[in-house]
Amino acid sequence: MVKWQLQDLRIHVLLKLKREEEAIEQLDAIKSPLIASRAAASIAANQIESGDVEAGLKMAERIGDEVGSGDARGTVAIALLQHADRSQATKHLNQLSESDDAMSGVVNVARHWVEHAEADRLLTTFESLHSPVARTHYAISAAEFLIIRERANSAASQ
Amino acid sequence: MEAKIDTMTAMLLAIPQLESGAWRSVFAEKLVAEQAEDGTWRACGQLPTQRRPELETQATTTLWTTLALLIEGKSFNKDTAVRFFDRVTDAQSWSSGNCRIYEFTSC
Repeated sequence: MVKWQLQDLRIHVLLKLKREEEAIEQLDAIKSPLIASRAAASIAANQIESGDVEAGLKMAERIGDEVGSGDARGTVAIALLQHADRSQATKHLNQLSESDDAMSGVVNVARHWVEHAEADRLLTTFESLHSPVARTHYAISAAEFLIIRERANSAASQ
Repeated sequence: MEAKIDTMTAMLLAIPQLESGAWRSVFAEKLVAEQAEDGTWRACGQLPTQRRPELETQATTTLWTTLALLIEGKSFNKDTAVRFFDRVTDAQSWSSGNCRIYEFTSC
């Protein structure tokens, strides 16, 4: 596992250095499905942030459905919500299955908005979710993250 | 502080920029100063005693620190860092452990 985690880390650095082609080559070499999904999500998010949404969505197709892959889908969803057309982001979120893994992607989106104090985006994303399962996961996790944030702010001010 | 390279890097990566104080810049500048001539950062604390090749450990610390400084937007010798970790293309270690890379680049 460490072997592929190092590859994943290398891909993050290559993306920051704007060496995307090399990052994609490194992705091809990863044999761990979970880490390949994470790396594909990082590359997809980078492409979306750079304005190439189509390439990002194509890269996101390489994300598998193994345990833990929901986090990778959450990474792509956040990139779409921040940098793409809102309808594309909504479509992507609503295409997620209702598995526990897919739901962890929804939870990551809720956490992202709370961490960035984006109350409006937190609410509008909730309203765009169609699945009752996804809405429930999103609402509960958003409430939990808001409580944690409130407690942290309260502790910091004392 | 040279013995705290991995700790400083982890804190820079883990704590959202939105919620950070002056320590952030102090840590980043210290990390820039700790880069060796060959482009690496030395693994510190208990890391060098792990059962994994020294080169791989060094590459891991160098990659994490490079990532942290790139996110922080600090100027450092990228070329030598890249030259070093490009050499380490075939890690040997295997573990059931897991880690996550979190970024807060848009904070």
